[in-house]
Amino acid sequence: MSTKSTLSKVALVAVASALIAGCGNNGNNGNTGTNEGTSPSASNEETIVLKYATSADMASRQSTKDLMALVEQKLGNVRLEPLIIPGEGTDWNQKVTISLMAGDEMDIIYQNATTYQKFATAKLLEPLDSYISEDDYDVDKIYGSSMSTYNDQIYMLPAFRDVHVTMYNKDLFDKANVPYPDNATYTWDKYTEAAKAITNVEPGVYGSYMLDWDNYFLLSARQKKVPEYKADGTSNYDDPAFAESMKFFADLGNELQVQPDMINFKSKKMPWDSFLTTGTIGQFVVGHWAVQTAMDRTQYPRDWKMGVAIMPQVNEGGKAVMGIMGGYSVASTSKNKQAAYEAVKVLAENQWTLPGIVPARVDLTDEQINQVFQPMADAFKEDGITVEELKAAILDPSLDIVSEKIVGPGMSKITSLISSEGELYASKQRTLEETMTELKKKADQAIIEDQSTIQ
Amino acid sequence: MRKPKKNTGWSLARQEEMLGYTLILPFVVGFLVFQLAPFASSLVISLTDLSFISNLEAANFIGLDNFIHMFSDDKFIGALWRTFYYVALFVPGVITVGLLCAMLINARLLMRNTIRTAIFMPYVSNFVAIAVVWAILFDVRDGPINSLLRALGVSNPPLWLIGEHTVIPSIVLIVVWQNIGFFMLVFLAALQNVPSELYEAATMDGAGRMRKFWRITVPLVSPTTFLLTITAVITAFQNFGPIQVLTKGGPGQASTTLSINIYQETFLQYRMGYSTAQAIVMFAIILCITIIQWRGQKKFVNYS
Repeated sequence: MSTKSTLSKVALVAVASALIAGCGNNGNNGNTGTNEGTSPSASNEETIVLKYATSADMASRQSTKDLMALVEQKLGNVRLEPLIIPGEGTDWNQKVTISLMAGDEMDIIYQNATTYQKFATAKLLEPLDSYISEDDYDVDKIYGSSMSTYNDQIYMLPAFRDVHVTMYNKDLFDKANVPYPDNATYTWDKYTEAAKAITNVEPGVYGSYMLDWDNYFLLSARQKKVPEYKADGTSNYDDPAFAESMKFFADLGNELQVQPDMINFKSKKMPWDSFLTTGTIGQFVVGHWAVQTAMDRTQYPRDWKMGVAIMPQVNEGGKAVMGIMGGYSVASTSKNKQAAYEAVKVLAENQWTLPGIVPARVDLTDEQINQVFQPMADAFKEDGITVEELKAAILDPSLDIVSEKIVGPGMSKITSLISSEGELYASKQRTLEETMTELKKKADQAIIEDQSTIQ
Repeated sequence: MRKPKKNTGWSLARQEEMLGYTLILPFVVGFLVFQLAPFASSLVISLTDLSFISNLEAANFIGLDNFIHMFSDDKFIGALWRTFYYVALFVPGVITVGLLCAMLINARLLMRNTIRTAIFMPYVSNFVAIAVVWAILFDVRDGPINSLLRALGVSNPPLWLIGEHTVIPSIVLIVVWQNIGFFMLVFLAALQNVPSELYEAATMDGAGRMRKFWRITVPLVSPTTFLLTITAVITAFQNFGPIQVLTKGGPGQASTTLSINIYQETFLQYRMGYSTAQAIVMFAIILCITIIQWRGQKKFVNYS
C-alpha cells in the first residue's frame, strides 16, 4: 500500500470521526460516567452519577460545589455532576425546556414555585407522590406550609425560601435623624416618611429605590392578597387595589420624588444593586437573596453601615411579606429516577446547612435556626446586624408569606405585562385608568391563549 | 513498473459531470439539511397547535386556523404595522445616507481615508457595545443630545428609546448609523465605475450639480441601488437583534415588531405552531416585496 493511500485513509477516518463527534449528543459536561439504569440498590462500589441541570455561573460557585459534595457525603454511592445549560433566569428555563423536550437526559432540576407548574403540565417533571409514599416520607411534618402541589401531585421538594426584606443604609438614616425601621411596626407610610427625610436630590441621595420588576408595581395588592383571577377565570386587575398599588409605586418617583423616577431609571439603565454600590440610597425592599449577596464584601465593599428589617406593611403590626420557595425536582428524562429522588430529598433537607441559605423546612429547632443566621450575622458584624433581627425579618414563624409572583394561567405573559404597562404609566405616557384597562384586557387575552395552549 | 490507469468506462463529459456534482454536493447537502428541511418542517408546524413546552406527539393538526386567527389578533396586527413603519423608515434612510456618504467620500475630501474608516467602523462593531454608547447619548435627563436640545430651547426633549412614539425612529436611527458603512462602501464601488467623461460632457453642456446627479449618477448606480434596496428590506424585517438588545419590544409594546412578536409567542406564550405561522407570513411578505422589486426593476434600473 502506498504512503499516499495510507494517508488518505487516515485522513478519511479522522474526518469521519470528527463528523460523528460533531453530530453526537451535545454532552456539554463531557460526562461519560453515568450508570444508566443503575438503581440505588446497586452495589456500594458502583457510583451513580446524576446530572444536575444548572447554569455556568451557579456551577462555578463554591456553594454549588459544597451542595453537590453534601449529596455524595449523605448518599455515598450517588454523585451529582453539573449539566451546564447556558443562560440565566427565564432564558435558562427556556433552554432547559428545549433540552428536556429534545429528550436530553438529566436528573435533577432546580425550580421555584412559579416555574415548576408549566414544566409539570408539559410532563417534563416526574411526580414524586409514589416515591414519597413508598418511602413513608412525612413531607407535611418536615416542610409544612412550604410544600406546594399542582394538580394534586407533588413535583418539587422545597429547599429554601426567599422573602422580601427592607435593606437600609444606617448612615443615611442617622444623618436624616430618622429612627431605624422597627420589625413590629414598620409600614409603607413610615417607609415613605423616612424616604422623604433622607432624600436630597441635588447630590443624588434617594430615600427609596425600587426596580421595574412586576412585583414592585403591585406591592400592597399582593400583600393584601387581592386575588389576581376572578372566580370566572378572568383577570382581576379592575379591582381598585391594583390601581392603588400601581399609583403608589409611580408616585414615589414622580410625585414624592423620593426614588429615581421611571424615566431616569430606564434611561440610565440603573442596575438592581445600586443600593449596595452607591451608598446614596436609604432603603431598598428586595428578596433577602440581596442580603446574602451583600455578604460578599469583595464585590460589594462598603464604608457605610447596613440594616435589615421586615418588608413594610400595609397596616401597622401586619406580617405579610412577599416571598417564594425554591426547590428541586426530578426530570422526566432521568434514567435514575429513584436515585434522583433520594438526591432531591438530601438537597431539600440539607441545603440550609450551607451558609446564607434560609430553609423551607418548618421542623428545625431554635438552635438550628440560629445556626442558619449566625454566619450572616457574623458577616454583618460591623453593621451591627444581629441574629434576632435577621430571624424577625426573614424566618419569624409569624410571617405570613404571600407569593411575590402571579401563579396561574398566562402567568409568564401577565408578569411581563404588569412591568411593561406599568412602565408606561410610571413614565407618564399613559394615565392610570388607561393602564389598568389595558392591563386587564391584555391579561384576559393572555389567560385565554394560555388555556388554549396548555391542554 | 507503473500500473496502467483503470478504465472507468465513463466518457470525459460524464466524468466532468460527475466531478461537478461532487463539487456541489457539500452545498446541496448543507442546503437540504439546514435550510430546506427546517423550512419544510416549519410549514408543517404552522398547521399545528404545537406548544413549545410539550412533545411533538401532543400536537394536533389544525389546518389554517393559525393563519386565520392571526388576522383577528390585535397583537399580531400591531406588530405587523410597526414592522412596516420600521421598514419605511429604515430602507430610505440607509439608502439615502449611504449614497450621500459615498458621494462625499468619492469627492476630493480632506482626510478621506480616516472619514471612510470612521463611517465603516460601526458596521464591524458589536451591537451590544453600540447599544451601550447610544443609551448614554439618548439618556433623557443628562444625555448629551437632550442637553444640547435643552440648550437650544427645546423645553420637552424626546424620550427616545423609552418613549412610546419615539422608540422606533430612535432604533432605526441607531441601526441606520450602524449600517451606513456597508451601504456606503457598495455605493462607492458603483460610483467609481461611472465614467468620468459623462460628467465632463455634461459640464460642457452646462448641466448643474443636481442635474448631473439625477441624470447621470442615479441611473448609473441604479443596479446597485436595486440590490441594496432588497438587502435593506430584508435587513429591516430581520430586526430582532437590535430591538431585543435596545428595548426588548418596549416600552409597553411600542417596539414589538413581527420578529419580536414571534420570539415572544414562542418563548413567553409557548405557542410554537402559532409563532411559526407568523414566521411563514413574514417570509411570504419579504418574498412578495422582493418579487415586486424584481418585476419593477425594469422601470428604474439602468443596466446599460
